[in-house]
Amino acid sequence: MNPRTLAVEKRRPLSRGDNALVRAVGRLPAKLHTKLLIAFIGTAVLVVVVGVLGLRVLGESQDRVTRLGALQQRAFAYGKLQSDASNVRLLLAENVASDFYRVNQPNPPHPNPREAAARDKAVANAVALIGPATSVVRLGFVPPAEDERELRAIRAKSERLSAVIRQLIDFETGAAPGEGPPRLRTRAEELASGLSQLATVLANRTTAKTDALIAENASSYTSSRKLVIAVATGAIVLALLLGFMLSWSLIGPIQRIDSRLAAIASGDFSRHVDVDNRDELGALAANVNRMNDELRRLYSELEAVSRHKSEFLANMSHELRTPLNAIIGFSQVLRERMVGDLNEKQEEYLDDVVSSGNYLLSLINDVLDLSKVEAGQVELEIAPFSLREALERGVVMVRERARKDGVEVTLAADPQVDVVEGDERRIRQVIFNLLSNAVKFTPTGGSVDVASSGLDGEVRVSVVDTGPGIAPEDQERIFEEFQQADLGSAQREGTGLGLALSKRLIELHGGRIWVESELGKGSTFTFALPLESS
Amino acid sequence: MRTLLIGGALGALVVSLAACGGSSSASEEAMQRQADLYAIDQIEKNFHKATSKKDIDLMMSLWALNATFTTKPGETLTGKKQIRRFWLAAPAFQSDNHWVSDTPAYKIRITVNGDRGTLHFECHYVDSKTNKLGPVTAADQQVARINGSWLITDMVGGSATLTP
Repeated sequence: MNPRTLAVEKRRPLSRGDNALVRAVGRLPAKLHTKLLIAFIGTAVLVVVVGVLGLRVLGESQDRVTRLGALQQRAFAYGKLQSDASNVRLLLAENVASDFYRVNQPNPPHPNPREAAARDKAVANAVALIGPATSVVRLGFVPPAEDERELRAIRAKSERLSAVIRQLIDFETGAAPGEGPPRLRTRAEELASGLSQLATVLANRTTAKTDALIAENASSYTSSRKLVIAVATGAIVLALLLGFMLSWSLIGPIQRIDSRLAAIASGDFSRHVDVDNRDELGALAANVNRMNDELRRLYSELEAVSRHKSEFLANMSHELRTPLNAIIGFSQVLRERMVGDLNEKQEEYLDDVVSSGNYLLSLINDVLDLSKVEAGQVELEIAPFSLREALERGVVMVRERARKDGVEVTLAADPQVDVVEGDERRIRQVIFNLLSNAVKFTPTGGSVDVASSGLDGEVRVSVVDTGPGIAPEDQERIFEEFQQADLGSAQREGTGLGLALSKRLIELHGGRIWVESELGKGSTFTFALPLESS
Repeated sequence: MRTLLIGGALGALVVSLAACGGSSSASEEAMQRQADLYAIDQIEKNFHKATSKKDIDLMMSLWALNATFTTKPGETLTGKKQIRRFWLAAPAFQSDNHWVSDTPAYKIRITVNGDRGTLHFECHYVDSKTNKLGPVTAADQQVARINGSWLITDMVGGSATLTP
C-alpha cells in the first residue's frame, strides 16, 4: 500500500482543540521550549501592563489628593480673608448711616461723633489685619499666579481704606459735631465693598476649583475603574486565549499521536496521524507514521510467513505420515508372520524397524503439533470433562511400562474437583507426557504419585517422582524445544519436545505449568487450569 | 474557542468605551461661565424690575431660603420671611411712591467661580411723576447657584455716589 494513499484521521474544524488559530501556533517554526517561553513571557507582560496601569491610576489619584490638600489650605486662608473683609464691610455699615439706611429708615438718629469715632477705630483695626493677611508668610503658601491680581488689589484697597478711615477718625475726634465729609464715608463704603468682593472672588474661585477637583476625582475614579477592569478583563482573556492556543497546539497533537499509537497497538496500520506542527511534536508524528508504515510492512510479511507455514504443515503432515505409516504398518504385518515365517534375526530387525518407525512418528507428531501451536493453528475444543477420568486413563497408559521398570504409580484425585472445562484430548496429552516422563526418569524401586486439588479458583495436577531431580539451571530450559535435563550417563530417550508442547497447550487454556525439583530428591511437575474457561 | 473570541471582542469594546468620555472641554467651561454671568446679571435686572413695579413676589424669587440681609447698623435680617417683611415696608414698595429704579450698566460688577459669585450694583430711584432723581443706594450681594438657579444669599445695603 502506498503510504501516501493512507487515510489521515479526520479533523473537526473549529472544535475546541482543532481550529485555524491553534494550528497556526502549532505551525510556528519554533521549538516547544521557545513557544512555552514566549507564552509565559506574554502572560507576564500582560500582568505587568495591568500593574503599570494600576500604578499610573494610583499615581494620578495621589496627585489629585495632593492638589486637593493644597486647595483646601488655600480655601481656608481665603475664607478667612473673606470673613475679615466682610467684617470690615459690616463694621463700616454700623457707622455709616448709609444711603440705603437713610432711604429705608427715614429720620435716622443723629450719630454721636465719639461713638462714630470708636466704631471707625474698630473698622481701622479690622482693616489693618487684611493687608498683612495676604502675604505668603501669613497665607502659609505661595499663591498661584491667577490669585496675585486679587491679592495685590486687596492690599491696595486696604491701604486706601485705612487712609480714608484715618481721615474720618481725625474729623470725628477733632472736628465739630457732625458726620465728617459724606463723600469720605461713601468712599470708605465703596472701598470696603470692593475689598469684600475681591476676597469673595478668591474664596469662591478656590471653592470652585476644589469642587471641580473633587468631581474630577470622582469621574477619574469611575473611568479608571472601568479602564482597569477592562484592561484586566482583556488581559485575562488574552492570557486564556494564549494559554488555550498553546496548550491545544500541544495537547491536540499529543492526543492524536496517542490515539494512533493505541490503534497501532491493536493492529490497525491503515492510517497516518495528521500533525503539521513544525516542532518536536511534528517530528514525533512523522516518526510515528514511519513506524506505522514499517510495522504494516512487517505485519504483511508475517502474515505471508504464517500462511506459508500453515500450508507447509498441512503438506508435511500428509507427506511425512503417509510413508511412515506404510513403513510401520508393513513392518508389523511381517512381524505378525502374516506373509511368512521369520527367523530370529529377521524378527529382531523388524522389532527395530517398528520401534524406530514409532519413534519417528512420535517425533513427527510432536514437531507438527508444536508447529501448529506456534502458528496459532490449534483450536481448542473447550467442553466440560472429568479430570479424574483423564488422570486414571493416563495412569493406565503408563502402568504397564512402570510395572516393567519396577516403578510404583499412585493416583490421589480430589473428589471435590472433578469436572473442569478444557480440551479433553489436549489435557490427556499433557497428563500422559508428564506421567511418561516421570516413569521414564524414575529408577527401579521408585514411585510416581499423581494428585489433583482445587485452590484459589484453579485446579492443580501434580506429578511427583523419585527420580534424580533437575538442576536449578535446567528447570526453565527443559520447557524449551529440543531441551532435556543433563543427566550425564542417565540420559534417557525422548525428543525434548514433550514439555515444550505441554507448556504451550496449558498456556492456550490460560493456565501455567512449572517444576519444583532438587538434585537427588526427585521432581514435582505441576500444571494449573482456571476453573472457569478463559 | 468562539466564546473566547467573543469575550475578547467585548473586552476590547469596553476598553474603548472606558477611554471615551471624561471631563468637559475648555470651550464648554467658557460657555458655562458666560451663561452664569448672564444669569447673575438677570438678578440685577429683576431686582430693579421688582422695585419699579412693586412686585414683591418677583423680588422674593431672587432670594435663597436662608439668605441674610444687613439693612442698617445692628440689623441683619435672616430668612425670606423677614426679608419679605422689610421690602413690604420699604419706601420703594409703597403705593404713594412712583419710583423707577435703575443702575448705570458699567457700574455693575459681577464675579463667578463655580457655583458662587458676587454682584454689586447701584440703585438710582427716579420719581416718574416729577422726573427727579431720588435716593441713590448700592447693593453688595453674594450669590450662589442653588438647584440650578442663581439666588441672593447675602446682601449689604450701602451708599453710592453719582460720580462716573
